[in-house]
Amino acid sequence: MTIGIPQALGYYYYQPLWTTFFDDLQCQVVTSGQTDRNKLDSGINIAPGETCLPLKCYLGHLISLTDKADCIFVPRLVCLSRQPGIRLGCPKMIGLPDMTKALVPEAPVVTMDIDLRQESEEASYVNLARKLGFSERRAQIAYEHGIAVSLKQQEERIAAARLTTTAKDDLVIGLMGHAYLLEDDFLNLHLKKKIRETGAQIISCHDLPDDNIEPLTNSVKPLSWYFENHILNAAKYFYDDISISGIIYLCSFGCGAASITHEIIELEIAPQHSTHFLKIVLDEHTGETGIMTRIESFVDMVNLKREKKL
Amino acid sequence: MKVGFQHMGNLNITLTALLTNLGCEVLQGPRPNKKSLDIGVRYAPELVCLPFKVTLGDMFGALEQGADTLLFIGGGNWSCRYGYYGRIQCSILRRLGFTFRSIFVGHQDVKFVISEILHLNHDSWTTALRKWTRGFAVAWHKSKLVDQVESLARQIRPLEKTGGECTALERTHLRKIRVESSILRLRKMRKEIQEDFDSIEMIEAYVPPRVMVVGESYCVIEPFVNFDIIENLGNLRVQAEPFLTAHRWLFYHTMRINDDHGLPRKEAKSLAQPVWAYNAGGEDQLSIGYTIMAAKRGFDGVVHLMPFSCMPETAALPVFERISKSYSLPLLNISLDEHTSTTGVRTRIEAFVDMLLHRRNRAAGIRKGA
Repeated sequence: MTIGIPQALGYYYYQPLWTTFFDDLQCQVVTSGQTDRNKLDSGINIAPGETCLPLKCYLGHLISLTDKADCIFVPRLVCLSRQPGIRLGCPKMIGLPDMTKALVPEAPVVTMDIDLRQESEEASYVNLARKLGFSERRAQIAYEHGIAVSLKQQEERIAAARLTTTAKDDLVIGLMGHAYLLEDDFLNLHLKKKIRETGAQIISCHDLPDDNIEPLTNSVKPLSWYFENHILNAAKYFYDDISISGIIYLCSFGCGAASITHEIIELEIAPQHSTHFLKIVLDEHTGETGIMTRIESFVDMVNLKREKKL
Repeated sequence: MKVGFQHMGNLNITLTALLTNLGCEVLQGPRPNKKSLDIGVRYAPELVCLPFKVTLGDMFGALEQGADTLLFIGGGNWSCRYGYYGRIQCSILRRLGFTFRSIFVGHQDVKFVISEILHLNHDSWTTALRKWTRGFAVAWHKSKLVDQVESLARQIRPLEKTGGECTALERTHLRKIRVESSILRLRKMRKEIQEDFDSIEMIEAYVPPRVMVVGESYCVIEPFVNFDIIENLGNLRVQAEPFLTAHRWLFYHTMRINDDHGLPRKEAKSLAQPVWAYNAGGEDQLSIGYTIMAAKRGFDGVVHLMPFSCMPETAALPVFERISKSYSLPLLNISLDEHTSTTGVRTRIEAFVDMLLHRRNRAAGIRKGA
């Protein structure tokens, strides 16, 4: 059996687990590959205009897989953590399978709910495997293997990131945003490359070790989006770390959660610090030159301030 | 304690009754208007949804009136932005130099609210309980009456002979409900209202098309942001039925009291389950359920209202369109923000109503001009 996994949205968070899990079940995993103009355009054509860029991109990836796989894996990320507090996916993640069924009815969608309020993540994966006709035991082993692989990959990433950032006395810029924007070079218009070209080092919020991040607590109303909490904690880490002289926050137009997260950063974290902050909002009309100009001027400004300090 | 809170349809009639009975003074800003919206837009984050901007303007108005406590209603553990309005609006207003206390009212903050009520009544359980019971009773009756007035006006407006009669009557009765404080007289008003509306002269032999209004709760309930869509549809001789009213919204979200006669919430939820499995926020699941219900109950169309970039409703939009297609139910989606113009919305509504009438005539075999 071939399983298609669109290389967008949750893929960038769960890729090692998903591919290992299905590989171990001896399914043939087909990913849709890197984003390109065609995929994005086909997604834009069918998606409602007001949705965010990554979602349009996801739909494009999904369409490109419809005739390449027996079934396409579209999970529903509802509740992703219970400690501390309930942490949810954004409404688009929660409605993703329903939305794809409504928009691309011909796609052979296989879905699974990750809702930790109902059952553990392992149980969700095992149920999915059972639905596809695999034994429970095999699914458990595959899941455990998948988790082990993803943990190892994360450790390697963190170690590699630490090496590059602690090596030199360069300008270091903290980069935050959803993994599906930061890791997709087509969507973010090669942002990382552009920053590196200006001579700055990058530390991405996805390369931070979890135990380094002291969670931001707010007794009034803790944010309940899982991925946004990650960004918020990373923001706090970046602001507290004096070796990081600039922060770039990448988000997409129409990302509702970003409007709240950015405001919380601006109102509750930034006032106590002096680190420079740049917010870049992406949509399908964003031009490469515009981004380049903004990054260059940002890096120039941060450099000026560093020189003044020295 | 001088309390201020957001506007939302006729919510203030109910809440004012409850709060004054509990011993607070209610100081609200003016109803949402162009000026308060401008203030909201100026201080709110750029890409946030419209209800945030409007309610921020309301809160600003309340503080300017001299309120020292702000009440933030609703906002549970969903995945919608609505839950964080309070947190962020507080920060924005404090940064602007206002000093105030904030109280969050939702079904999960019950303990805190109770302690606040106790504190208001000098920590006496008996006084607090007595005042709460009376306040709740008055608020409940007022809320029910407002609901009744709104519902009668909705039903009769498309049929009235002289235009504007219903609206005028609605206004007078709402004013009466607002100032009345005796439970006994409030109970008597029920019959009075029914009689008054019954006495309106109606055109005969006309069955108005029925339209269900679904979407994001605030946009459906607040007439300022939806350009009085229910009244306007009524004036176009269409009977509009919102899936949610201020009465149902308030009592469900603060106390989990379910008062939805005629449009059962449970049924809507189970209808929506197969096509939209989770409620992500902003009443998306219910909206979908009521859309299917509208199709099953023979409504002529559905109007879907949402703020621009609303997270749950944009995600659910394809599902609405799919339902509309498979049940062949006309759907009008209106996305609202501070730049939406009255004329634009009115034109779209008029075109939609024309289409509904045309469809109906065609179904009945009547051709235009024949």
